[in-house]
Amino acid sequence: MRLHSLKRAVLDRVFLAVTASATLALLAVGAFIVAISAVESFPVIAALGPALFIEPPGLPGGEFGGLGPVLVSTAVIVSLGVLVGSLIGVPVGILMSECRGSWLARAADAALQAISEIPSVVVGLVVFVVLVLPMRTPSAIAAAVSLCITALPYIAAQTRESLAAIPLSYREAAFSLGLPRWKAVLRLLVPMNARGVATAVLLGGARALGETAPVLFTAGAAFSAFYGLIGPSSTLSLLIFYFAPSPYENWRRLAWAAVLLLVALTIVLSSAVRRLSRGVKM
Amino acid sequence: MGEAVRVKDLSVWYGSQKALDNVSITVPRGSVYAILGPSGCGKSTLLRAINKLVLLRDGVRVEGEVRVFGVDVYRDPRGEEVLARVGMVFQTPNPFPHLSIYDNVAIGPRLRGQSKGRELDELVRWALEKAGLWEEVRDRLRKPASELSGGQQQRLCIARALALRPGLLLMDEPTANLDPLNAARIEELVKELSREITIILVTHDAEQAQRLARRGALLFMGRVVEEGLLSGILSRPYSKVLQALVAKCRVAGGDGEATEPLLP
Ligand SMILES: Nc1ncnc2c1ncn2[C@@H]1O[C@H](COP(=O)(O)OP(=O)(O)O)[C@@H](O)[C@H]1O
Ligand SMILES: [Mg+2]
Repeated sequence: MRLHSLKRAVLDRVFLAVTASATLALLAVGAFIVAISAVESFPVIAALGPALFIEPPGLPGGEFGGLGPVLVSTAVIVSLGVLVGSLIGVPVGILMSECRGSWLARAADAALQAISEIPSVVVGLVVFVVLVLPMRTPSAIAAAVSLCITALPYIAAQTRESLAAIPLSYREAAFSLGLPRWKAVLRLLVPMNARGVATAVLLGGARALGETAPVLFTAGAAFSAFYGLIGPSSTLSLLIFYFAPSPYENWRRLAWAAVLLLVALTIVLSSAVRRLSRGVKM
Repeated sequence: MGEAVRVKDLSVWYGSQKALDNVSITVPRGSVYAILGPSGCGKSTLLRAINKLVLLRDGVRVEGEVRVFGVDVYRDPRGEEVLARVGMVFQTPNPFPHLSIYDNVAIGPRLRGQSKGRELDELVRWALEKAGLWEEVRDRLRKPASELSGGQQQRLCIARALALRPGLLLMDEPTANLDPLNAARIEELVKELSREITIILVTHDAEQAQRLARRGALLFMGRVVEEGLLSGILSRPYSKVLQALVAKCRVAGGDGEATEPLLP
């Protein structure tokens, strides 16, 4: 009996030690990433000031310049991708939640599952073949399409989950008003769940912002100006991809500045997502 | 007069579990009809089978016939039209959390395109007056409904149902979650409304049933064990009636149904 409880106490300790050190390791990794990004990028950002948000990158080996045009194309590409992704993803999410079990909902579910499981570099490649080759140029549009496809499963799934989480008692109240089903859903349940839909859209945004692979072959690498929707373009993550390993000091510095912006934007978006989804009061 | 609701040989399954077994009841027009029984016996299921809300749950199967004002709601295409005149009040007050007090009442008629503008204002006021809430909320109609107390929320839900101008009102233990004072107000309301509207009242409170209704049905483990005048059903004390049912059921070995908590 004594021995048994001793063994148990030891195992408890071991369990605690293992899980705690794993957690500490995780914290260290997180802190390290944030710290390195901050240490590397703050001096650049401080040196550049507002120019960072306005100027184009400097010539290789020359002045720093800034990230102005990249920020513009990132904003355009991500918003366009998420806008279209939401126009498709939100209704699909509604369908999957409200017509659960119908063949259409099951088909949509399977399709989204497939899309989210395909490596995102493949999505980029497909868009390259379908859009970039015929247009004979990478473009903001092609990049937006790639990001739209990447974000779609997240938007739809989050919409579905948030609708499914509406308590049955509100659902019953909505359906007790003698309304046609589509009206009860679109005019009552969806507005009731407005925060859930907003969360889905923001989540898609965070997703799209962070992805590099889908825009690798589709956006182009035009960092010094924004050439419109059908011209070559770029995104923050793409700039990091090209600039960080370059031999030019000023470009590497710019890449770090982009890292900090990207991290900050992502943190802002994700915490907005978290706040919104927590604040859903029912 | 004819009947408001006729349920015939109704069975409802949740997956493989049978919640209602060959239930038949007849609810006359213009009165309060009580559905009594211990919790888990299928009262809420029966109520939701009448207005088809039961179909919102997963894996539900319904067999048999439900006629509301003569129309077979599960087969007749006019069913939707008839059900649009059936209001429901739930056990837990459930005003729409994202809407104001006014909009909670107005939303039904508005979305049904039945009235708007001044006419809608009048209808909302009428419903709130009927529900005995007007005086308390007239100055804060634009405030969120969630600011109201539990009892007020329940009366708001009654107003929301009344704004549909229902011929039939289904009430699922509407006072179960209220304090005695608010419960008494709702009972008064039921009495008053029953002059114009047929009301089916689910309750596990036999005294409440006797105060409000003349006729009713006693459910036990998904079956109607008695239907008719409450004075007859409750000629013995309710607790004795239930004890007798439990004892009989033990002797019969549960009668093949899954046993559920038998007493409230
Ligand atoms: N969604 C559901 N899924 C499975 N079983 C259910 C569901 N809702 C109710 N039941 C079961 O059906 C029976 C009747 O429930 P209900 O109609 O809520 O009874 P009451 O209203 O009389 O308390 C109970 O045994 C309950 O456990
Ligand atoms: Mg119940």
